[in-house]
Amino acid sequence: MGVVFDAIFSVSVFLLVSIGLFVILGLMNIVNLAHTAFMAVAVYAELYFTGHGWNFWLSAAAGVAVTTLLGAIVEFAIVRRLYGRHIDDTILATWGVSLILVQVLAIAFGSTTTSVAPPLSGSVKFLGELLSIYRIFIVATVATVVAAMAAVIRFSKAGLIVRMVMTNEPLARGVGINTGMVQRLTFVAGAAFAGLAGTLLGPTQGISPSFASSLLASTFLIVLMSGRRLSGLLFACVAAGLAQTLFSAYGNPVIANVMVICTAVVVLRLKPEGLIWPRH
Amino acid sequence: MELVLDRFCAGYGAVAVVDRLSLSVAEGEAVVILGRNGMGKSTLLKGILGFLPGAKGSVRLGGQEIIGRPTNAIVRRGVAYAGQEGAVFGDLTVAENIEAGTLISHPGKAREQQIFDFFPVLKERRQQRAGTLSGGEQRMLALARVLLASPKLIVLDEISAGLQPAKVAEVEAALRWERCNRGTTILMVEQNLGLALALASRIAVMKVGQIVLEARADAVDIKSELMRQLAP
Amino acid sequence: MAAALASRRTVLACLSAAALVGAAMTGALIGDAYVTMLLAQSFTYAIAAISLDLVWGYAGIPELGHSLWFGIGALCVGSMTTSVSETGGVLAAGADATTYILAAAVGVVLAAAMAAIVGWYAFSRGATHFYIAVVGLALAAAAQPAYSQFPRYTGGEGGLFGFAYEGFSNAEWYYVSAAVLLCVTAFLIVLVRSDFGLLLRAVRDNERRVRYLGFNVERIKIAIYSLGAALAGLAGALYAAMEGAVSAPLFGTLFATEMMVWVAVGGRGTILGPAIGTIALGLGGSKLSAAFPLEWSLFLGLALVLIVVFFQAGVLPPIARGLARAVLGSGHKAEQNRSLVAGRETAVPARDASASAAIEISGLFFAYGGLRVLRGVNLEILKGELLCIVGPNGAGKSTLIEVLTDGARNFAGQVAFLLGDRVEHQGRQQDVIARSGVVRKFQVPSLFPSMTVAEHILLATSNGRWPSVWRRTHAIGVPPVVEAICAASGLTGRLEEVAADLSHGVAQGLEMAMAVATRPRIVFMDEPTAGLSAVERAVVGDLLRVLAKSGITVVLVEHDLDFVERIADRVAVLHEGRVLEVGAPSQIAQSDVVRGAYLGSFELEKGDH
Repeated sequence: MGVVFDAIFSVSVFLLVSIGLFVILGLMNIVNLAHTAFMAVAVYAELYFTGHGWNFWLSAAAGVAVTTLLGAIVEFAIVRRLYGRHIDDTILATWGVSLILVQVLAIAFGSTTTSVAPPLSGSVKFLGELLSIYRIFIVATVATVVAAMAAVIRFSKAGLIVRMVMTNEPLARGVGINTGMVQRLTFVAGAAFAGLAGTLLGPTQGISPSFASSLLASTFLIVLMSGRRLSGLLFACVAAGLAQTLFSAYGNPVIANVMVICTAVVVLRLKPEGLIWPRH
Repeated sequence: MELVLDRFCAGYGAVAVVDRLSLSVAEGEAVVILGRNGMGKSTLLKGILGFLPGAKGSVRLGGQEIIGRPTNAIVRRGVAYAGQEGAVFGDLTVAENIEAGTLISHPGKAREQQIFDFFPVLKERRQQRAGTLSGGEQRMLALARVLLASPKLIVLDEISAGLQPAKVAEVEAALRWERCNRGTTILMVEQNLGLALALASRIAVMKVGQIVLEARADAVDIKSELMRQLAP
Repeated sequence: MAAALASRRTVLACLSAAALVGAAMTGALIGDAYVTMLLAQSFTYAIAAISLDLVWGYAGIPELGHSLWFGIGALCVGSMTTSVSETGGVLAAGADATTYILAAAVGVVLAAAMAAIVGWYAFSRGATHFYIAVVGLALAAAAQPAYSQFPRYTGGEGGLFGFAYEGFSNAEWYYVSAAVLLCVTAFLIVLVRSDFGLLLRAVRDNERRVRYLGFNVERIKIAIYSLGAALAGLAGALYAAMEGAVSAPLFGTLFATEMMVWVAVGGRGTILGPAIGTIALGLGGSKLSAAFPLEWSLFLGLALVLIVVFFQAGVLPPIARGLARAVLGSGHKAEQNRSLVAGRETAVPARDASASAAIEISGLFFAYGGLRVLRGVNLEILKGELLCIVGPNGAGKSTLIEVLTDGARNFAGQVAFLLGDRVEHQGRQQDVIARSGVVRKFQVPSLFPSMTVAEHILLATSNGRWPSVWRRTHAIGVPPVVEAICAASGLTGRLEEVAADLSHGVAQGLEMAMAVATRPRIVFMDEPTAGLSAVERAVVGDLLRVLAKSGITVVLVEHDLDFVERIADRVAVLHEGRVLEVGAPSQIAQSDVVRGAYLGSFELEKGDH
């Protein structure tokens, strides 16, 4: 039972981290390798504000706000100039941003590992297992976010616009949509998702400038496995979460990380279009 | 809606495909641009729509300068355009493509029904993904989308390309209706001489980035003149 | 020859080469042991950088894990010259020269072999273009943590150390690495300037089209990927023998990224640029990283962002161009032109009297997802005939051509090609079909944007045989009809223009010229007259007749019945995925069945003209 909840939690973490990358890749065709660096910025902002006596929720909100602002700045200063360029260029530039952010954090806060206390302590007993309330809260939050996003994409006019920009950007412009604005907002939204992921995951692990960077390669692969569809993202996260949990439980964490990556490599080879149902 | 180009230049990178071109389309007119390949016809339309950065000169739409404006802003002034390639949203269904046309115009159900009457095949395929339609069906979907935007100016790039003749007749009927009943101004590039002569009030011939001939479509000697102009 | 020497590119190359040789000499002149070793080390990095430039800059393969091959080379040397305890402690280090050379050779071969396996897995059909980036990133990301899991061979967390080759002094190391760098650079420059280098650029620009020219793209990419890995392995081995240390970070993504920075700074796709850039960064970088250990990676990040955003071509090429202009003055002509040379074709009997079949199609079914496009096509295409396929929109005409030129499509039914022996179509890849003399002209021109007209035709004439890896062809031998096509479509004077600048009509002409330049036996043409005026149609029609007379079987999809009646030997009418009728053009026009499905509208078109 413990393993089952671990798997659910692991899937939720993958979803939480990858959803921001997912929207940016899907709408802008940009691979944002600064994503986990954004998460690190968010968690350090959270740390900073809790250190100044703010309560956790306020600090988390502030962390998201800081990251969103940072996303807007990076978009304005760098990403905006890369629209229409080859995907290699955006990989290199965002990787550069990531190096800068991580190093700035290291200079400002030092490289030592610290932590932030979870706001919901304690645990509940369920089917004979003790489950952390804060982890349950994270799982519930992720489920809500994903469900809300699915509803918006499928049913709302905004969702239609998003899909129009995804499938044919020049034509979307040609029917009157300010696609530049849509893409700008997308990048900022992606950064906000990184902020959410960073601040929520902050209390679950040690905090250092390279916070979450070990997740970068695997979430990047997960997003590629998604086939740019939310349902695909869900499948991909489930696959990665299961691989991670099983190999951690019956092997060691290093091997588990390697195995997640290997899973993605094999899946992407067999189904290059990602984990999506064939369309008719 | 009136469209006036003055010494308009457009192209790709350093290459000015359209070179200091002047042309005016009066309100309610239908101007068809003919010309051999590679003379800059498509480039001209893309340039007017604001798809090509670096276009120079003057483009006045309903009296207002639009050069340098982004495409989406130009479209919102009442222009609808179907290009030669990529004129439908391939991943979206036919119904969603049609909805895309209505995003800024809200034409109402009756109008939608009318469009389906023009192009019955689209109704049959409402739930099919546009990318799986044949080339000709995609052209019709693109035109349906253009008409649904209830534009004041329609800009079409070889809308009849790849259409079988019976469908060309459907296109002709729809555009003729649009012009007669709604007074829509039309600017189109066409290779099908028959369709061009049937629809146009005025014909312009383009050669190496410039207009070399303008004539009323009902001029007596128009056919021989056009044959002369279109020869190499 | 004099003209070639004076061309700007040549001067650029000479200047850069001089700078490289200069760098190779200065260290020895300075005589400072530290600087000498630093330069020697950066030479090994430079070898890795130019090998990455070959893979990434020229072939356009997004390689995010190049560190892996460097690491393998280094680890082979480390592992074979040390003895290590079970837990990874180094017990003894060092060996004789033969062992080092052997270890380096093993490293190179191992890197090449592993890259070939990875490439075979990552480039084979069904994987997307971007997949290799995923694999590279994944391998580098996995290799670094995995390194510590095999302490017996890798030294575990601490790595291997102390095994530097003792036989060379600093100055000797310096000359050895400089010599290797110069050799590798010269080799790569010859390679990328050859006809084969052209093929690499074509693969980078438009892979699918290269396949339809008859080239096995997978094999080209595997070869280049593997060659790049071998050279990086060589660099790693040299580095390890010199430094005597190897550890996990040599395999990791950070080092891979650093290599990409070297290449980006020097200018992608220039070989000399990355070499010089790496040496400059290596020299300045080590000083800076020693002085500012915290800020160094900040500088690296900033440099990366600035270069990618503002100096796309890298930092060095603009400087080099400026120098070349200063030396030459502006207005010097571009490189020596290529020209077409029409060969004498042996006359082929006009039309096969027996009229035997070239392609037999029976019961062909094909669907896109759930949409059934071809529903039992039966058709015999005869040798040497000009067959037009007509039919209403959505009848499946383009799809039929698509399936006939790609046997790996998932179709049902019997298709056989009878050019010589009977060959079943099922499962044959595009390039195999193209090499057997069956080519295709695309409906929408599909070209290589950065390549010139002449380069397009040169590639087409190879028809799938790998071009020379060292020779650079100037006079391109083509069948006479190619010259005629070029003249008719206005290509003749524009052989040195890049395809990105061609208009639609001219691009159509180039498509046709390329199709014919492969010396095909069957040509499929999807709407060769689309978007052409009446006069141009007539020209294309004449050219098609010339083609058919020369013994080539021509199959084209066409809408304009006037045109069809004028040029076709036979007409096949396709309707709702089936062949409704086949016969002479006049016969088709009379047919009641066809009239019912289709012809009412044809008459309308005829009336208009």
